[in-house]
Amino acid sequence: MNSIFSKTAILSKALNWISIVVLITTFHTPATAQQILAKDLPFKKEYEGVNINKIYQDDDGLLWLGTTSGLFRYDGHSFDQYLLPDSITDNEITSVTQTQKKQLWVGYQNGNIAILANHHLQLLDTTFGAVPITDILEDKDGVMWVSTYGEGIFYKQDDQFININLDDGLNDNFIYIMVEDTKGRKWAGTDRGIGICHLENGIPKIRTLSTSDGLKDNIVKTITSDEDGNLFIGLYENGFCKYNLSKESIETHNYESWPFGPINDIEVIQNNEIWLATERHGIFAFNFEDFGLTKVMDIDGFKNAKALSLLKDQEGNVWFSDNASSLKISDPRFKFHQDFNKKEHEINSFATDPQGNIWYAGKNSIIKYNPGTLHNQVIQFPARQLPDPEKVISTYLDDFGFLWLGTYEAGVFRFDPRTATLINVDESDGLVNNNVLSINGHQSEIWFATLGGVSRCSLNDAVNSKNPIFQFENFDQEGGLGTNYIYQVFIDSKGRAWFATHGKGIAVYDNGAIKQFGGIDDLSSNVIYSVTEDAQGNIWFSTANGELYQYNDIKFKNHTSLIGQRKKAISSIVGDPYGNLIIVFADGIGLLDTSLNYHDFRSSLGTRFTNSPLNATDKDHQGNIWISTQKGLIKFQQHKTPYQSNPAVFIDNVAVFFENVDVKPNHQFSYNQDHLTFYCRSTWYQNIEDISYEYMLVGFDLDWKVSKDNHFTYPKLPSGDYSFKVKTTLTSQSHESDPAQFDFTIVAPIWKRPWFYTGVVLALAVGLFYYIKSRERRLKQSERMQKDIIEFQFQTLKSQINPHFLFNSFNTLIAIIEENQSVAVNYVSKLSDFFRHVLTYRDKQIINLDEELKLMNDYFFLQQKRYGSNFNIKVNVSDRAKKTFIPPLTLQLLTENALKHNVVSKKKNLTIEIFDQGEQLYVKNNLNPKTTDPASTGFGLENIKKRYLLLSNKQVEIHRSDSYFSVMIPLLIKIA
Amino acid sequence: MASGIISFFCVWLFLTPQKDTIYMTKSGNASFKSEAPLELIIGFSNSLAGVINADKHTFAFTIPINSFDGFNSALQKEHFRENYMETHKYPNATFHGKMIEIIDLEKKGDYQVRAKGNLEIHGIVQERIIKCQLAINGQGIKVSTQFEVFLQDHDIQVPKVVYQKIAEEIIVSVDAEFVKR
Repeated sequence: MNSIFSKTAILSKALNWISIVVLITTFHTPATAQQILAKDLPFKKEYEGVNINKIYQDDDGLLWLGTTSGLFRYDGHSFDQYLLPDSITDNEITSVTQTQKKQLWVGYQNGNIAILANHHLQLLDTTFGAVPITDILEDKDGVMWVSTYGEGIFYKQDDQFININLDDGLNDNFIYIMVEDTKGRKWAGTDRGIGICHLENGIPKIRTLSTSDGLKDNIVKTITSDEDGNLFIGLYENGFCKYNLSKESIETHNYESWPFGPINDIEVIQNNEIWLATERHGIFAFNFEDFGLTKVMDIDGFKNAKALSLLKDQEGNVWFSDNASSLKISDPRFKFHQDFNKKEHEINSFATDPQGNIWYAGKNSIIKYNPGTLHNQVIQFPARQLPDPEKVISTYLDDFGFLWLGTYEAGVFRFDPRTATLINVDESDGLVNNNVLSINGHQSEIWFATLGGVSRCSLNDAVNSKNPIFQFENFDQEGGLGTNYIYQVFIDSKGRAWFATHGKGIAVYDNGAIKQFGGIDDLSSNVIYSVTEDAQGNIWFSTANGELYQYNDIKFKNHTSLIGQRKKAISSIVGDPYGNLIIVFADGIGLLDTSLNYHDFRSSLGTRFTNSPLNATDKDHQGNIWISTQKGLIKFQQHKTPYQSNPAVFIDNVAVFFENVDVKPNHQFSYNQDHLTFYCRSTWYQNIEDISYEYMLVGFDLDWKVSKDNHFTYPKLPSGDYSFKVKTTLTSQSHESDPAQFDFTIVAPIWKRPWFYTGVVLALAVGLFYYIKSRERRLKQSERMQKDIIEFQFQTLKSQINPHFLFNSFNTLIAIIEENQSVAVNYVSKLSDFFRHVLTYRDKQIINLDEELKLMNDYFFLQQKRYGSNFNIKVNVSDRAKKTFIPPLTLQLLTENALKHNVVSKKKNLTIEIFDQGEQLYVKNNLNPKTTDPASTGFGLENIKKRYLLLSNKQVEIHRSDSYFSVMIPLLIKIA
Repeated sequence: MASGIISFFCVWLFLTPQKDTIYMTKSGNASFKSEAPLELIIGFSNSLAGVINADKHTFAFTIPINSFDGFNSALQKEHFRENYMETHKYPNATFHGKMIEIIDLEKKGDYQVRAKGNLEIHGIVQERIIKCQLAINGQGIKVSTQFEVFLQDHDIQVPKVVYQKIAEEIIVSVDAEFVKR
C-alpha cells in the first residue's frame, strides 16, 4: 500500500537556507512484530521426555513443577525430584497448590492427592475416582476444594470430601480448571461453559455461564484473575474473554477471529497485559492498550509448541513450559524491536511521538517506525540532504510536532511530518556550533547542546511561518558554562535547562542566567554524560566514570554506591512516570526505584543488550522507556506491581553429621549431635549467581560470615543455646533480605548439667567432711595413745637417773666429810636442795631453762667441792633463751657426763661452756679423756636423745673433735 | 483383526441400554494425506466403522490400519504398515467420546459439532476435540471431518532418511454415513 505525499519546495535565498525539492513517497514495509525473548532452563537437558504440566511458586519463592514424572522443586540451582513412595507406575502430576498452613498439595493424573511433608510425599486416604485431579484450592474460609477431570468437584466438609457433579446441576464432570474469585465463588471451566459454585450455609449453590450468557465458546480451558478480581477466561476457540467482576458481565476483546487455537493457560502480567499459552502456537503477550499481540520467543523459536503452563513469579519473571520438556523464563518488562531495522544501522538517536511512533534518521531518509504490536510498520520519508545516519546524533520532537535532528558538522535539521519538509539550520543562521549533541525543549523554547556551547531558540514566530527565521541566544565557554563541550541539555518540569558539560560538571539555566555548580562533594569527575529528572522532581546526573548524583534543589547527594560501584560509564539515565530512574550501562540496564532500591536487569537482557549510544533513550507517552542498542531498540516498562526486590531466604533443612533430620523451632539436640549443617535456600531467578549468604551462629560466631555456598557446617559444637541466622544480599544491589532464623539447643550430657555438678560437689563435700572427721578422730586417738606411751617411757627414763646421780654424790660426800665437815654440811644442804628440785621437776616433761640452770648450778656446786678450781662452768645464756624450755636434768646429765669421761686435774682443767645460739643451746667442754675410760653405759646421752625425739622433731646433735666435745640441744617453746 | 472390531463394538453396545437410539455406519471412508517437501502420500480406506448414541451424545469409531490403500508404491505401503504403524501390534485406530454441542440428531439440518474423545493411534491415546460436520436428513446422519495427526503425538518414528518424504503433520479426512439401528 503506497501513498503519495505532496511535493513541496522551499526556497529561501535571503536566509541562505538549503533548498529542498524532494519527491516524498512513503511506503510500508512489513516488519517482524515486537518480541519478548525467553531463556531456556536446563530442565529439558536433564529430564528429556518429562513434561511440565503445572508451574507453581510457593510463599518461600520456590518453584514447584508438576510433571509427567513426579514433582520437582527448583530453587535456581537444581531440580530436585519428589516421587511417591512405593510407586513406580503413575507419578504424573496434574495440579500443585500450597495451603495457608504452607502444606503443598499435589494432585495426580490417576486421582490421587499427596501432601508434601518433611520432604516426603504422603498419599491422602481419600480417592477421587481414577480421574485426573485438575485443581486443588483452599478457599477463603479454609475449605479445601478439588476439581477432577471426569468426576466433577469435591469440597471438604467435616473431614469428608463431598462431590458436586452433573446431577447437582454442574455443567459437566470434566473440569479443566477451578479458581476462586474475590467474592469467594469457585469457577469451574468445563466443555459446557463455566460452573460457578459457592457454599451457602454449607450447601453448594451452582450457577452456570455459557455462550448464551455471552461466553465466546463453551469449552473453557483456563481462568485467571487479575489484581482487581476480574477473570480472564481462556477458550478452546475464539481466544479469550474477560469477566468484569464488579459489573458481573462478560467483556470481549476486539478480535474478529482468533487465529491461534485453544488457550491452555493465561497469566496476568499487569493490568494492561496478559500472556496466553496456546495449544499449537506457543506463548503470546496481549496488550489491552493497542490490542497488540507479542510473540514470546527464544533462540529456538518456540513457535509451534504446545504451551502447558504459565506463571508469573514474585520477581516479575514469567515461566512457561511446553510438551517438549521445555521450561523457559522471560522478563516481560522488556520488549525487543530488533528486526525492523535489519538492513539499517545502529540508531544513534530517536524520538517518540504521542501516537507511539519512533522517529529516527535513516539513509537519506527520515523513518517513522510504528511499533504497534499488531500492525507495526516502517514508513520512510526521503530526506536526501540529511547526512549519513551515523552522523545524526540527536533527535527531538517539539511541542508543535516538528522533528529536530542534530548532526555532526551539519547543524540541525527541522522536519515537518505534515508537509514532509526539511530545513537545515546551522552556524550561518546563528546556531552556536554545527555539532549538535543534544536537543531538548519546553513549549516554544528549544535548546541545542553542541561542541561550541549551547543555543537557545524561541519558536513562537517560527512555528507557522513557511520561511521561519530562528533567533538564537548563545552561551559558551565565556558565557558562564566554562566549557564549550556540552553532552546533554535537559529541560526539567520547572522549565530550567540543565547542561551536562565536559569538565565543568553540571550547570543550569534558571531565571535568565547560567549557574555553575562547583564544589560538589566527592565529585570525582566533572565530565557529566547524562542528566534527567525523576517523577518527584529530583534532578539526577551521571558522570563519565559511572557516578550517579541526585539534586533535590537544596543539595547534591552521591548515590553511586546504590548501583554497586560498577565504575562503568553510564551512557544514559532517564526517569519513568512511576518515579523510577532507569540507568543505561554499556552492558545492560538497571533501575533505581522510589525507595532507592536498585534492580539490576543485566541477566534478564544477557547478550541481547549491546552497547547503547550516549543518551540514546526516550520516554514515550505511555511511560515506556525506549533504549537504542547495537542490536535494535528495546522497550522497557517497569510494572506498577511492586515485585520482590531482593531474594528471601529460609532454612530448608538441618543435618546432623550430614544426615538430614526433621527439626522444629527451638529444637533440642543431644550432646553427641554436635555436628550440624544448615541448608539454606534463597531464590533469585533473574541471576542465582548474584546471591551471597551472610550467616552467623549466635552463641558461637562473633560476627557475620559471608559465603556463596548455601550450606554451612559447624562441627563439634559445645552444648548450649544457639540461634542460627542467615540473610542474603545480591552482589549487584545494596540492600539485604530479612534474616531467617533457627533457634536450637545442644543439651549438655548428663555429666555436664548443672544439677549433676551440684550433686557431685555436694557428695564430694559430704564425703570429704566425713573423711576429715574420721581421720581427725583416728589421729586424736593415735596421738593419745602415743602420748601415753611417751609418758610411760619418759617416766621410766627419769626414774633411771636417780640411782646414778646418788651414787656419784655420795662418793663425793664421803670424800668431803673426811676433809672438811662444815663444807660437808653445806654440801649436804645443797644436795638436799638439788634433790628437792629434782623431786619438784621430775614429774614435769619440760622445765624452764632458767630453772634447769639453777638446778645445774646446785649440781655444779656439789661437784666443785669434789674438783675445786679444776672444774669450771661458764654460763652465757640470753634472757630470751632462759624463757624457753628444756627437759629437766638435761644440763645436769651432760655436766655429769663431762665429769665422768674427762680427767679433771690441776694440769688438765675441765671447763664446760653453756651458751645459746639461735634456737639451740650448746653444752661444750674441752676434752681430756681419761686413759682408763670408765665403761660408758651411754645411758645419759641416749636418754637425752630419746627424750628429745619424743618431745619434738628436733634432733640433739653431738660433735666431737680432738679438743672438745659439744652437744647441741634444741630449745623448746612451750605450746600448750 | 475383524474380531477386534467386532469385540470393540460388542463391548460398546453392551454398555449401551437397549432403549437408546443408536446409529451405525452404513459406509465409512477415511483418507490421510502426508504432504512432505519431497513427496505427497495419500492413503484411503472404506473400512471405517462407527456408532453414535443419539440419546447420550456419545460415539465410537474404529478403523483397521491395514485397510488403508493407495500409497506411491507397494514397498511404501509395507513400510507404512510394518515400520511406522506397527500394525501387528496396533491393528486399529479408534476414537470414542462425547459430543460437546448437544444437538437433536432427529432434526433435519446441517450442524457443526465438536467431538471430544480419546484418539488412539499406534497405541498412543491422545485426548482430542475434533470439529465435525453433521448433515441430518430423514434417512440418517452424514458425518464429515478433517483433522491433523501429529506423528510426534503418537510416537510414530520416521527414520531420518525419509524425513523429507513424510510430513510431521498428517491430514486425516473422514466421511461416514450413519443409519438408525
